Amino acid sequence: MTRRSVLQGAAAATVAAALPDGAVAAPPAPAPIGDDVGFLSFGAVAESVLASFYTRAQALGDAWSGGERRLLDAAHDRHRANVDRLNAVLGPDDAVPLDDFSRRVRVGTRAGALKVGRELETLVAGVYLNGAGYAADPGTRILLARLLAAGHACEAWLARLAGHPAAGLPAPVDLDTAGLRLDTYLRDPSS
Amino acid sequence: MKRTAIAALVAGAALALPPAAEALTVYAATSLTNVMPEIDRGATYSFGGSNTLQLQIERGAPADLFLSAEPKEAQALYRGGRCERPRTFATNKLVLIVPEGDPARVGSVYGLRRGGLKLSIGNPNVPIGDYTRKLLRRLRLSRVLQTNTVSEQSNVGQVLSQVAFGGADAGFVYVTDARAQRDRVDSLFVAKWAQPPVRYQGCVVRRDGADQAGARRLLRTLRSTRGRRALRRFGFGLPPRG
Repeated sequence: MTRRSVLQGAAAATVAAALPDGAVAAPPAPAPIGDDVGFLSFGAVAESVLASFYTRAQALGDAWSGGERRLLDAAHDRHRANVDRLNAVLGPDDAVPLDDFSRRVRVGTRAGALKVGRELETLVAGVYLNGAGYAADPGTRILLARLLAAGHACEAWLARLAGHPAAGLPAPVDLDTAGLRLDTYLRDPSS
Repeated sequence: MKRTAIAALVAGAALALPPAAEALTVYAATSLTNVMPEIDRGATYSFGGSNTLQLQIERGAPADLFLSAEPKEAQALYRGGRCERPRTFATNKLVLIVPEGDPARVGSVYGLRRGGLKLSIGNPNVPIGDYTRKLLRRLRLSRVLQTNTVSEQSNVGQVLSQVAFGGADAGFVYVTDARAQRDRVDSLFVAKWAQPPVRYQGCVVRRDGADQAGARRLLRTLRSTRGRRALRRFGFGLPPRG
């Protein structure tokens, strides 16, 4: 057993443990109040961009080991599930339809993918952290905190793959700043 | 006596003309004012807020085709059996407009946080008003409706006019409206991710005497290559074909 495989196993366990699932006690159901929908709408769009990122990263094929590919798959599925989870909370009136945006995530190399992935995960986690502090509805705050934990675990795993130590919690990011950054990954499909 | 008989004959003949000889009557959202006559010059148009047009059709107004700026109104008529299944034919985006040169120095949508500005928006019952509120909620900017002096209009054309002629410091309209008045208004940045989905839907009205064949034909034209080209030329987005 190599050091790399031990670390990889630990990372997989961390990601799996931190990603939200139904195994833990149910938190209060989110019922966003007023502008709480801002954090959730941003999350729905950003999670769809992250899912696209993991698909693109997967497409690099030999750049990843088998274990890494499985983790990329798991991360993709979790982010995709998060889109549905956030849209369910937003409800039919405020949900973000996936076909509203084309996602434009370009990755050409393993190093490039790790850089883009970390940047995206950090950005989105930063918004969740901001939301966990400022959302008016307690259920929404808990949901955002859980998504933050999941995103941060993915970022930590990507950091380890890049040979960097996992960083601490990201700094909170306000929606104005994060929105500008997220926009660079979006294209209007009808334009 | 003879003259009277001839007049009666002429009047009778006029009444007997088939309905197809009359112009198609189209009730359409205000934001379609410029593009629709380019697609069909022969139709008679009544432009207004989609909710007002919906109410008029529910009360028996002589519309053949209804073109709504959001699905809600067309779907309500469909559910009530007053029109055929609605079809999406165009999309749009919201933009914040200011009078040319931005005299109040609003700068961007975030500039509305400053407060004390005159802001023109659609009322909550018209699509542009509904979309504007959704956009502001997504940007966490709903408070700007309290910190600025807000004037609510009953259709997007009124918001556009109010800003274009200096009656307001800023207003939310569709991108297509801003293009139509680009010599009088400037468009300010609104984040892509926060745009609510703006969908135009059309439906053929069901009522006695409606020209349903003509209405179906025009709705097909709107969704054809020619219709899509015209919509695109006026700045509308297009839904996937099908």
